[in-house]
Amino acid sequence: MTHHRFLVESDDTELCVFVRQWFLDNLPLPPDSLTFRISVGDVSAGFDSPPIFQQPATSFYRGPDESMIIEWEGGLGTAVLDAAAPDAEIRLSTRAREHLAAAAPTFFLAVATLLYRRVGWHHLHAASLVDPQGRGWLLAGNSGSGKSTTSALLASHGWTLGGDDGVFLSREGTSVVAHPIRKKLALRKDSVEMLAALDGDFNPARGKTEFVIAHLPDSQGFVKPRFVAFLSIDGKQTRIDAVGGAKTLAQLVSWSAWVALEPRYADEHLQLLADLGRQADCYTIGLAKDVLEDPDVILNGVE
Amino acid sequence: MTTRYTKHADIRLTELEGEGIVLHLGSRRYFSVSETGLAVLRALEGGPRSSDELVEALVDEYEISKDLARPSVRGFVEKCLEAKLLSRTDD
Repeated sequence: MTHHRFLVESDDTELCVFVRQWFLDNLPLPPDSLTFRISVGDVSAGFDSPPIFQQPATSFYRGPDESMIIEWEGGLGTAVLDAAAPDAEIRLSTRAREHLAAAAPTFFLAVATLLYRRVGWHHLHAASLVDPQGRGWLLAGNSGSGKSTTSALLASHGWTLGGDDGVFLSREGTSVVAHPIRKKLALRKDSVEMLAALDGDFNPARGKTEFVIAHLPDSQGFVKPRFVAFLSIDGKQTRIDAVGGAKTLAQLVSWSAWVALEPRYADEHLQLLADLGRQADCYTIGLAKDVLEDPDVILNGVE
Repeated sequence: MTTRYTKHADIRLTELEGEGIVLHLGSRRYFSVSETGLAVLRALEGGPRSSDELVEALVDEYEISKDLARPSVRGFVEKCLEAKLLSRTDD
């Protein structure tokens, strides 16, 4: 059964159900089970050493025997991950237990991202789409680079959206494929105004309007990238330039924040990125407002 | 006295289309490297190497003269020492 891929164990049944359902709704099914053992109570605070890595609301520390410790800021929770086994011991404070919806897209996603590495799937910060010709695309870029807005624009012009925020890369045979993280697409106010045709719900906690857009058909589940685009917002006219070699690798590494986190997984992660660079045609795309009037600028620029 | 160079344990090398990226896991910095740099770093994966040994590796790979290889190796090694990608020991 699919939910056995996310094994959530806790004495708190409601907690189990919520967390498991969040994983099933938002994350791709991993190839092997990921186990989350969760208890609620006092959370020990403070670490002797500075964090080695930080993400929104979370800090990462090296534990004994190459384990990883993830802290949810403010003493709300901690997770201890074995170096090799895809399982995590999680402790939530009673205060955190009352705010699970906030925990899931930050703390639990961070824990899950590290567990996916232990089963050979590695994170890339990129939107994933399939164009009207059935070809897979990844759009990588910083927050504010136009990734989500472009994804929403293309999804309303015949493209199919996998997700707008991240993917897990893995090997399927000789190919590199991307499994989308399916969180709701969220747009800032100015982007919503630009894409007036779309209709969504404002989420005050995020300060953004969220949309649920028809995702990839369940039978597919992943995107085989034929194109990778590195986005920025630049200039009066959209500009598309082919890149390769070290420039492609540098871009892919820069959008794979987790690659340097645990040495034992770095080689596998880097090799996936290099193989993705070999498989896909890669471009930098400097987006301008003309793409709003004619999204085919992107397709035309690579053909 | 022979000076040998060793790759830092925290660096990882990956390449695409003849060019490479060196990622330093500790500092999380990454550097682009050319074909020459790739060849030098690949030679160092076998263990500490002297400058002459690195020059030989380049000569073997690219069939160029030692006179051409020597300054390339010297320049690349100095940049790597500065960036703490390599360390130096004197025997």
